Amino acid sequence: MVTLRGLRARASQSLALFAMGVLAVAGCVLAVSYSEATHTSTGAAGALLLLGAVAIASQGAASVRSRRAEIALAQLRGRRGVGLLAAAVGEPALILVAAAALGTVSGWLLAKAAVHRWVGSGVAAVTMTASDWATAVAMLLAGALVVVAVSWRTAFEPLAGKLDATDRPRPATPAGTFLAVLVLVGAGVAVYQARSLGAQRADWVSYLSPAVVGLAAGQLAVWSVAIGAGLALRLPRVNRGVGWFLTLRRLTRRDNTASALRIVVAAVVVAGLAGSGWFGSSGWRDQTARVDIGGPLAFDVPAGGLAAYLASHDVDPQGRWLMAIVASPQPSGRSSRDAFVDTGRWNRVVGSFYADTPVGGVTGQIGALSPASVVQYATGDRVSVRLTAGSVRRAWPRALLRRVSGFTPYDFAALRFTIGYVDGRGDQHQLRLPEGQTDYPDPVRAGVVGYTAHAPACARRCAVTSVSVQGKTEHPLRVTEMSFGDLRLIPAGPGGPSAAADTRAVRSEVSGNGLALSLTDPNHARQLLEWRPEAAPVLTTPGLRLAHSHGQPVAHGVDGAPHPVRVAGQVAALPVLGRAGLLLDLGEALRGAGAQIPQSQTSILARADTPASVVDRLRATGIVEAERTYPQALAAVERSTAAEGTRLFAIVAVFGLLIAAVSTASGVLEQRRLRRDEAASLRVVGVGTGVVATAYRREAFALGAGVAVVGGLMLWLACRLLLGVLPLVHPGEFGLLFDAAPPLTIVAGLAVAAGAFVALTVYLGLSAVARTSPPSLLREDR
Amino acid sequence: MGSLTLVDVEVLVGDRPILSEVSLELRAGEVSAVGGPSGSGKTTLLSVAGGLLAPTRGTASFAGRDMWGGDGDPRPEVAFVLQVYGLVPILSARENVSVALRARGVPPDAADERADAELTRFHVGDLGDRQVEELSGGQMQRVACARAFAVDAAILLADEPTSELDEYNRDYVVSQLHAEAERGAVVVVASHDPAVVDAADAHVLLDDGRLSDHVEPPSPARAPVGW
Repeated sequence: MVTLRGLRARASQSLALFAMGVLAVAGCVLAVSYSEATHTSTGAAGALLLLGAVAIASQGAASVRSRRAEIALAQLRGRRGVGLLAAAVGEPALILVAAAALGTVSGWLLAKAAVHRWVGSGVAAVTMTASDWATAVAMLLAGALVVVAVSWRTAFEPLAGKLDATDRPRPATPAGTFLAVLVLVGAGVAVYQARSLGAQRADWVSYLSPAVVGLAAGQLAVWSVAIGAGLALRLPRVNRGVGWFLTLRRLTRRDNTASALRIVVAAVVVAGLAGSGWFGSSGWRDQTARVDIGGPLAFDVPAGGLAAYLASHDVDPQGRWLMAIVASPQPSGRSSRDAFVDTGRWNRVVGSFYADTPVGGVTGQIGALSPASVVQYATGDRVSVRLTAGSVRRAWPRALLRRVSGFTPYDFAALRFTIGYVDGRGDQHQLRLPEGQTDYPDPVRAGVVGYTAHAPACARRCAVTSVSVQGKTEHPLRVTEMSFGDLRLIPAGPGGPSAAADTRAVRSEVSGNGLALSLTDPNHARQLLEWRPEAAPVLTTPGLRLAHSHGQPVAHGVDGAPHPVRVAGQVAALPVLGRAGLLLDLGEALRGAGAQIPQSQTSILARADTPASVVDRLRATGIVEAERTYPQALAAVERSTAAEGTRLFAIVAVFGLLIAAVSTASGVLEQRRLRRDEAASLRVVGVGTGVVATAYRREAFALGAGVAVVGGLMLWLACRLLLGVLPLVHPGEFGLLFDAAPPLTIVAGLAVAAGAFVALTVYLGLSAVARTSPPSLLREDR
Repeated sequence: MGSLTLVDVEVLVGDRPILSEVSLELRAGEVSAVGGPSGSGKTTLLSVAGGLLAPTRGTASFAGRDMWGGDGDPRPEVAFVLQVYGLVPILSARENVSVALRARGVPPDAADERADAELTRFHVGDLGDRQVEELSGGQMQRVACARAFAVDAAILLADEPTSELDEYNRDYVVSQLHAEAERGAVVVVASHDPAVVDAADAHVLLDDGRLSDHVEPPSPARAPVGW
């Protein structure tokens, strides 16, 4: 018994049911399609699915109840049994099927648009899947089930009841009471289960928990408004005015506008929770992108840390715009999770970039990492060694060296120094002195030998990474001077190398006149000099366990070699590394460092406002390759599976709010019909139009306040209990953790906005009812 | 004591006349019965007389004042017993009576006390806390009577006030109508019930919106019916 006339006669009811069906189905299909397209969990759609099913069912039940008289008419016309039930079910069922069809198509189209907009062309085309159809059918069945149940009750109630013009209150059924209690208990169980499992092991209960908590919040909101109004009614001062009396009396009613708030508050909680998650995750995405890229602009430097360090200093000597960084985010056998930054430039280059992030704590402690001396590098391409000996010729005998290499008849061998260095492009070199066998130094004077050589590729800057020696001496030598360009290695200044620890093959000792040297192994080169730093200060992340060597904590340098360190402080997170690793000074680490470990990432970071001329000069060095910007890093994070799921929460939030809006509007439309008689009845006994209108305005305000206060409190509670255990993001082992603290501004803003919307909708819906409902309405014999 | 006077009243709905050329004087101290078949215009006549409807032509006045106040609300001196009761569904029986008193400035406690007395007067005192939606038709009708009688209105207009009542209660309500008239009120009752009409002091008969008969009471005083 579906007629256009019937649909038109109940246009508001029909439209509300249709709109709710379209919204709920479209939202769920969109969420499911999007999650499948992005290979993220479809679980986030669960809350929307449950909320939508309850909203559709509620709307469907109201639709059936509004057709009581029509069902009675069908009964009077002889319909009985299944025929009568079909007459009751027909219209809402038809509306639901049409809504589900439109909702499915709309959801699919929205999913295509969302994937195109947010993900781009990196995923397969969005197609209708079995999950989409199953979602639509599930929503349809949920609505149909309740429609059939209410239709059954309505169709088979006594005819007199169906025809009773008085809208008599329906007594609470055991099933209704059971459901109300079940929702409250279910909310407690769902929260317990979700918190027990945590985000990593979330199951379907975890995903449904926002909706269950929302429905419980709705139930509590209804009770709170009724109980609060009942208590206020007992206050003589409040109760004195007829307007307040009418407002409070209306709010104490179980079956009134406040009961329509059940779905509204539930939807607000679900939407608020999802929205808070979305906003919270946007902060997480922002911070993760900042950590990943390291600075506003990042220029990759494949040549390594020294090249980056030198280039940043060459291009920006004042340290205003550029900072080199080396990090090894993926630990391997030769490295730990270490990051090295040019600490002297931190505050100016990235200090503000990391403000209000977990890495921000570095800024306050970066001073503790400042090295005792700056990194030493050489400028100039000439290497020279001067040494003295009791017998220079025996120490460095031309004839013998010409004849043999290695052992001599006199049982001593030629000295050979090997100097390792890294040039400004990151290339490693080794220089031997003497380089060949034909070019030998002449004695400068008796007992003194000098030698110079050309160091290729070191015209600009190099860093000496090692000095070793090979040979055999019968008598001790003294190396009085060794220099590489303008860098003096012997005698060394502050921060320079010192004599390597004595071994049986090499005995060396620094004295006022240079380095006393005694060699016994002519076959192997032995380390002569070493950069023996003091324990380098490091910042660590909480819970990090440092490796130890000989009881001393050590960390791997840029070359992967262990170096002693001391913990200077602790920070929540580090650039590039995230929440696990060490932070050291790059200059300190580069002193004497050899090859850079392959897994490390080297970049030059630049401020966002770095002048174009500086960037151009940096590019002109030829050592920078790929350039990355913060927006690119943010986009990469947002497209990663770690954060893609957060979009679902945004979708849930939007559709939750839409469901709340439709619920509010449909509830007010239903109330308008009932209020006309009520307003007329009040006016006929002398209650003025203004008093009635004021009562309705106060009711609108009270309902809005109820939604804002109860909804806000429940939303805050839901956020506090569930935000941290919902799988919003997947930070992985080292990623920044999601801040699950309820965002008070968001929660309060949403609650106030929802309350204002409800108040405004009720106000607009009811404010004119008093004026447009004259007592003459009651003349009609219904 | 004044009279409720209708002069040449005409009410049109579209082009269709509901009332035509009705002129009446409904006196205080009398129970006037308005009779006539269904659709004859009885309810419309009461609505115009009580100020709920503006006549298309003519006037209804009491004590020199036009009954039509401009917004469809009855004047404070008017009380109605409506055919559809007109009870406020969100209120209890007591509150329905009380709110009419509170609208006239009676304090809440006094209004509730008076409401209880009026409900008891119409034998529904034990239903004061019940929501009116939970009451039967007859009970609602008596609550509607209690509400109208409680305010000591100068004009009491009752539209089929006994339609849902048994004979016992019907006679009691009629007696109370006379009591209101004796208090000095203009009491007008529209009814199909011959017993009610016969008990009235004056009779107005409507047929198709026109007065077909108007019988004045034979004597100034009449013995009350029933109790």
